Amino acid sequence: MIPAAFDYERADNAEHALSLLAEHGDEAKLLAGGHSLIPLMKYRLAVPSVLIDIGRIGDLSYVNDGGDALHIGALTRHRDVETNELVRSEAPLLARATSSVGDPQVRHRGTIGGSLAHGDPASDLPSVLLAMRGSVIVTGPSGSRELAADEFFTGFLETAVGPDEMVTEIRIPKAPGAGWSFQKFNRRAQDWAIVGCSVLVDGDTCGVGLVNMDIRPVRASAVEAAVASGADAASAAESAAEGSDPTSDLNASAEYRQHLARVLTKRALEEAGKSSA
Amino acid sequence: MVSYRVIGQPTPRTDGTEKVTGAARYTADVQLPGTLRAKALRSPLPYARIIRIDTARARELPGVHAVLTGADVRGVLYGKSYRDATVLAQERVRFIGEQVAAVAAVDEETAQRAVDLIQVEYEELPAVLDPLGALREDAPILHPEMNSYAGLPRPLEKPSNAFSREVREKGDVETGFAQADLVVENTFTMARVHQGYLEPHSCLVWIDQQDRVQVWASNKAPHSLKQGLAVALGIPPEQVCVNPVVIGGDFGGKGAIWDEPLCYFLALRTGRPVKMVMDYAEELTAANPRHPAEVRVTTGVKRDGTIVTCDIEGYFNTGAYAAFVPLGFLPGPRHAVGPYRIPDARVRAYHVYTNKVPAGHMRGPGEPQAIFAMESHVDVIARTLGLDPAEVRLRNVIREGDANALGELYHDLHGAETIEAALEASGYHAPPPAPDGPVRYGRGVAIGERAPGGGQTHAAVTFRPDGSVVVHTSIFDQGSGTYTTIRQMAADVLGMSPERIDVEVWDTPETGFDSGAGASRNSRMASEAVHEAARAARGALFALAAELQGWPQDRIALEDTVLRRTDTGERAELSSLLARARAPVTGSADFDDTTHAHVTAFTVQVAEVAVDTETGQVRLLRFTSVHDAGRVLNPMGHEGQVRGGAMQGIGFGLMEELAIADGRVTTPSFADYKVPSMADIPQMQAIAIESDGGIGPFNIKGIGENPVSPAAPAIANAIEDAVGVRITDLPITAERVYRALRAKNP
Repeated sequence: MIPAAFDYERADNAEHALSLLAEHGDEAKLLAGGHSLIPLMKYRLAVPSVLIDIGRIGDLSYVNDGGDALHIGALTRHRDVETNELVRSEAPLLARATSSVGDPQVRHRGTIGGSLAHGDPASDLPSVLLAMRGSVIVTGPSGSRELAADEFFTGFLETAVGPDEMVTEIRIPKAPGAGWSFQKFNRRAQDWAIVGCSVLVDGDTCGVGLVNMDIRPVRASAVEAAVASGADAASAAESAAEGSDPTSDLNASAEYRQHLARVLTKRALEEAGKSSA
Repeated sequence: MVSYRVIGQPTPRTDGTEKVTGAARYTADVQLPGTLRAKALRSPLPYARIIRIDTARARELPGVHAVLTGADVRGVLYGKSYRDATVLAQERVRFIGEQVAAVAAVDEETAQRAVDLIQVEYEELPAVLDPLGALREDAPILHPEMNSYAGLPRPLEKPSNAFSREVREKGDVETGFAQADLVVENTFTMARVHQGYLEPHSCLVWIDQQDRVQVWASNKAPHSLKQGLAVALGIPPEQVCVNPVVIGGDFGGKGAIWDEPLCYFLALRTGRPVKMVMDYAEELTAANPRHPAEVRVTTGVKRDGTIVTCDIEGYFNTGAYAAFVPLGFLPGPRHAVGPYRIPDARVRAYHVYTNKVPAGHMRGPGEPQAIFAMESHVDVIARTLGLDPAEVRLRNVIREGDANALGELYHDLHGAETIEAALEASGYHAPPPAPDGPVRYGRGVAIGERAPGGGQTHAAVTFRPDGSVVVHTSIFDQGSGTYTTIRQMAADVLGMSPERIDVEVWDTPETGFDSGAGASRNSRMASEAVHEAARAARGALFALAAELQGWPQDRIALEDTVLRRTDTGERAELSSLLARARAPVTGSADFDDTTHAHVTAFTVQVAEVAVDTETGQVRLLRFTSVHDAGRVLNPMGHEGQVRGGAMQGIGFGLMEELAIADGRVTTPSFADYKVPSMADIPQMQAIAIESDGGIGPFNIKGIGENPVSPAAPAIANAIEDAVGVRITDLPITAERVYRALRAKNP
């Protein structure tokens, strides 16, 4: 339960963090809220030799109105996202999903950027990014680039963020009148989802993001296509597990997860249909 | 009913403030100069021969004071009753997590680094992981030398992995089957679960200048620890002193000898105090969880629901060592016959060695497993016969004058009354809510019965010169609120306000043997001893008043700070009288009755659930727990016991499983091992039905273990009521319910 020895650097701002990353290279890990990284280090599943603490960079914590999209600083705590009026009115799906992350203590420490950069298929927020077709601003030595949600999650706990880059901002397209639903299936309250589902229905377009249905956060493309071609919720949801490859573990078998994906997607589509303006 | 002054008043805990402010001193907080920290290297294999251990690099690490292996502690065996545990593995390891070598170093990190430097070469052996496999002819015998261990419950003709076969019998079950209209048989399984106390096992051992072994330990049975250590170490018991500390939860997991022998040998080697604190990954992988079990229930019944015979066969997976099993076997399987009037009954319980983490017990040794089986089974009987499950229980439950299925006779039986009260309070007979989309609703009832265990304890009540009082007890309160009730008891007898009474705990050399917290015995033992000691102290005080004031001894009353002569109304300040005393004004008493009480207590619980037929998810909506309580000493403490116990029963029923794959615990943290959070606990009613038929001067009944066991079967019964499927395996996960629904409606 004691992490391996590591050096600690505190970054004063994003440029400083990037220069520390350049200096330490692959040996370094960025520390934001610490709610994903520290447990891995305690079990020695992650053994970085340097931790670069970006948790005190104040100017990466914000929610701004960017016109068509909300611009959310990578170090904005879950609690600040969950309670932000702009998020609640323009992206209620994000507010709702964020309110189900961990418990209040976790939400006061954990950050939106840290959660997405961890790339965990069992996390709730990637499914929102996929369903709302958001993007991630990644900053490196040669400047910033914008990655669409579909490009961002590349593998098990892997993202398209390079070793010399960091996530600096999340962009969520506004969807004020859209129908939405967040479904989370737990073994107990306040826990990781066994399976989860984020749905956004905006006119003819529909986004469906799944939690814990593959080695990386995935979109239920077949469901989206079925909805676009006019299928009702029940028949569209039939294809929710299509192409998925969920794990079998202590909480659920893969087969049961696929069943849950279909049930939760159906419920999410129905609920989103009702809330659609 | 009898009227008491302080007994029965809601009383906040005497130790509440110090616990919530962090002032309470637990074992890990005890600091002695020069203390070393110890860590152990644990086996990575379920069953293996140790070929070689290389400790050279660990010994060379700066800050390391000692490294011990099995060779340094050869021949030392310990255990609660049956002594088969070694301090460090001897030639073989028998489970993943077994301690193979240990380091004492200047701090925990250095000790851990040194542990990481120890190299062990193993020859892996084929492991036996389940009890039925362990009983096969060709299975390796894990303890071939078992007949030489002290405390084996009964010697065996030849060594067997089934080290204990307990049979309890009344009449002849075959006679009963011949008379039955119907034979109903079911097999149930229950998962291994951890007690989940907040404070992990910890101990500090120091051999002082007088060669006394000073022990601080997270242990609720200090006198058993003292005696067990003395026997294991071959030293006189009076050389061991177990010092009082605050204990951070127990639930049955903190009554065994733990790392104290290992710390003793490290202290002996280094000449320093040695402290060892498990981390929670160690707790979940290598402490003493509740036994997983498989229990088969076969009953013969009449068409009207009368149970005429009951045959129980249970297999309890003890794991690699039985040192943590209370009597060398679990006493609880006998509860599998239920609190029913059954003419012929038999219980056969097998405790079996396997290459898994050694099991102990949790809040009712063997009872939750037994009661889940029988109380689920009773509902199957009722549904098979088309009868109401509550009616079948009312038909069979023992009433005043009835012996139970095993011939035990208890008094003050309120079983039927408790069932009726629970049905009423829970709205059991009201129609369940109408189906809501895929959701169906149902209710289930289950009952349990338990009498407090016996034991030995000591108490003294002493007036201080300032008129305040100190009660000395030999009980170490493990968190159940005993100190608070002791204070109430003394206040009640003396006629003083509880605020003027302090409770102090004797360390082990100051008193004779105390049985320790457990078996729901604390209130029984304490109420007898404290009541008698307080009466004796009051007698001594009145004798003093008679002598100094010239009052007749039978005309005196104590009214908090004042003594009053009842016939004249004359008054004297307690403190000024005590200031003139030439000898301590005190009284003491011992309680010594090791037999089980002959007064038992019923628990009836009703669960109301919502089952999602599409996912199998079970939501517990309401939970009602009704207790035949005798007189409640402290309603706040009583309700706390009920709510906490029910919550543990709910966790056992719905989510907890200390899972093992290939011998390795796969739930080594509370992220993986699911204990219910407050958000999982439904609207809960805790109801006490009081009577004056309880035990001792305050008419008590036990409550410590009682609220745990019926919860899981009540939930299983409610699920069948809602959706018509019977879940026989714990925990009742959503996937299990979903699969059962699919099997029923393909």
